[in-house]
Amino acid sequence: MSVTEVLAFYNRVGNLFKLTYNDGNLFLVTSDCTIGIDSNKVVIFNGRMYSYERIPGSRPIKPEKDLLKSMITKQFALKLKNLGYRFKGKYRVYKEEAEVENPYKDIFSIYRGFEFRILLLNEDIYLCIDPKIIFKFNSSIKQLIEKGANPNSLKDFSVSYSAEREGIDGYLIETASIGEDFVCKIKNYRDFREVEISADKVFPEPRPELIQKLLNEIGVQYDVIGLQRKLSFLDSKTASRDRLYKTLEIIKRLKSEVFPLKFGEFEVNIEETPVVVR
Amino acid sequence: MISYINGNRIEQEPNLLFDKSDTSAVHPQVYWGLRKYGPYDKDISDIRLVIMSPIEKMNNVKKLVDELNSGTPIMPGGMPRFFRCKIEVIEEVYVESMETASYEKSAFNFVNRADPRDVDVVLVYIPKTSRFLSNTPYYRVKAILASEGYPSQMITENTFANLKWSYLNLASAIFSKAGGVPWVLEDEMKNVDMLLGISISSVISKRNRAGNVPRYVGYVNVFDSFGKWMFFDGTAKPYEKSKRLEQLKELLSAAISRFKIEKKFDPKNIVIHYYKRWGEQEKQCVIDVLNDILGDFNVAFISIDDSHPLRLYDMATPDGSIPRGCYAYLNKNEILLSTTGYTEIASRRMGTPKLLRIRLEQYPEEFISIDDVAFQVLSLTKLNWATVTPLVREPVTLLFSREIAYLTAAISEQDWMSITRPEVNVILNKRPWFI
Repeated sequence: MSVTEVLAFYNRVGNLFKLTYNDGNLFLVTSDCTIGIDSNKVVIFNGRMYSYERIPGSRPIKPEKDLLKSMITKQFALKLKNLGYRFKGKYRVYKEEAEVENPYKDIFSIYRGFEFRILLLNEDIYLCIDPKIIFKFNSSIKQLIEKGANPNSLKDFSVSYSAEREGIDGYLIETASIGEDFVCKIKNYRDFREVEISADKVFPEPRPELIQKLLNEIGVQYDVIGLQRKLSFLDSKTASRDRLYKTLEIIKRLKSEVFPLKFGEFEVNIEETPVVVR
Repeated sequence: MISYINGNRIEQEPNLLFDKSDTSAVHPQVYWGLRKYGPYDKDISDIRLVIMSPIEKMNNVKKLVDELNSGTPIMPGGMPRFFRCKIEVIEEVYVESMETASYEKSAFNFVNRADPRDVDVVLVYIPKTSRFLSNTPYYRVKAILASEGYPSQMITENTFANLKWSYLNLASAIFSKAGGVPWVLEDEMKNVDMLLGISISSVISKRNRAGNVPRYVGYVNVFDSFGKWMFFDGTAKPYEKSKRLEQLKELLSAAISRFKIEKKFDPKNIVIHYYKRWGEQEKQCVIDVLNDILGDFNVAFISIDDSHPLRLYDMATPDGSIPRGCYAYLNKNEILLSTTGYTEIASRRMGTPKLLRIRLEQYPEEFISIDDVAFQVLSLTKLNWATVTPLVREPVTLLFSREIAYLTAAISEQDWMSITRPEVNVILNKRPWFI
């Protein structure tokens, strides 16, 4: 049955798409020595390591569904990365080319992306997909000062400063001047120690409310929240319907881009029709 | 191939009760219930209100209070009709500017000279700020007032911009913060004696940000079988995460002892709502406490999570949203429940319903079904006394926890310790000061 037929016959559906796969083995790594093992090919599950390839010191096992779900999740994420998707956190992804135009791209970017999960429901494995708008901050604290922000107001929000910038790293306590330069005093979220990082390496958390506040700080009048609402279907009278159709579009793209997902003895496919709620 | 999951639907909106001495005073909608019957609790005659506002806004706020008393087209008859009481302004406190420091100064001046026993609620006009920013008039004034035993109600320019319905929301919030009970559920929740909404690891700020080592607080809101909020209790001191089980014991023991005193019976069927997934150690800790205090009990561990991307749709509704009250079974004891989808009791919805993922575990034996829990959670979405809107997403157990979590992240350890000290707690713990 096609997606259109399913939606014509059944009213209630979810954003879950069944994954199908063949029987196969994973390999329980029994050796204590794990040096040289490719971390992309293994998962740690309930304290034990499993590889999808036979490696020295491993033995084949028929995986339980929980374990297989864990391996599929890892391989799915890796495939997305290999295809050029960027991650924001563990489960939110976007592609650079999915950027939405805005007049202040030197300060922030917006992307149409999606959030995913892989779930085990009633002994079946499903991919859950939900469209998401993803924000990214492009101006460092130093650049914001150069654009006119008052350094005294650049504090009391979360920031990132690690090279990957996939999440937030700490809380900005103060932006202080040192000669002609600026340094950020940050409470690191990992160990709660205070660190000093050069302001050109520190970026505010890309939260729409904060972007809005910082834009106002440098004298830019632009409705970030309004744009977010528009892109998130919040202003639509058929918001749910729009979101479902967008979800189906993403699944169609993933079906051709990512699936079949192949690793070791496994080949995983996805059904394009959403799960029906009966 | 089509894949299926099973679904179900709560056919009828739970009814609410609007008079504690008249069981026929029921209505499914808050607005019509209050308009027709007044509040559940009709014992309050006057609410003593203090207004705190910048001078240029004071007249607007006073006019608003006058209109609450005299009535508006949406709220004909005003407070006397809808809440069977009047608001009396007993003091006006001026704030020099809209800056946080000015609000702090006025709030400190006020608490230093006033007595919380003489004031029911402080109504504060503040600028609109994001709740994600901590150093704002909202959080600072709320914390300063609460730490000395004053419940407060904030209003912003937005309140005035959309006054039509704000009147009633405001009136209900003021009434409940003054100690009144506006409404409860008509029917008791099935197989529930005591319901707790618990949080055992909300990070608390140290001077508005995390300290050298993050510190946590725990708190519990206790409800009776009609969903009536009974009291709030919090851990007396902030603690480190490794001590969370000790804090859970402290919280739970105090809550059950207090419930027994107030209700004069030992609760047997206890339901605990938590917005995270229950850990094995946490569950065992609860069981140990209940064994010590009660002996004969059943406990349901319910986690209610909305931080997932799962969605349901219904192509038969005008906007494609899954109707309120519909749910899908993810597993035997796990459902996805819609609380803000299409419904005939409300025409205005925004966006796609964010569903509640509800998991149920029980000990020592099953005494409640996941379908009972679905109905219970839907019922509890109707008990947020800060709003009369018929569409509230979260059950009050979760909502109250979230409100306090926002506060703990913004107020200081010192404020928290003041709020939980006995002489303040005795005033605040019977009033939902945090909503």
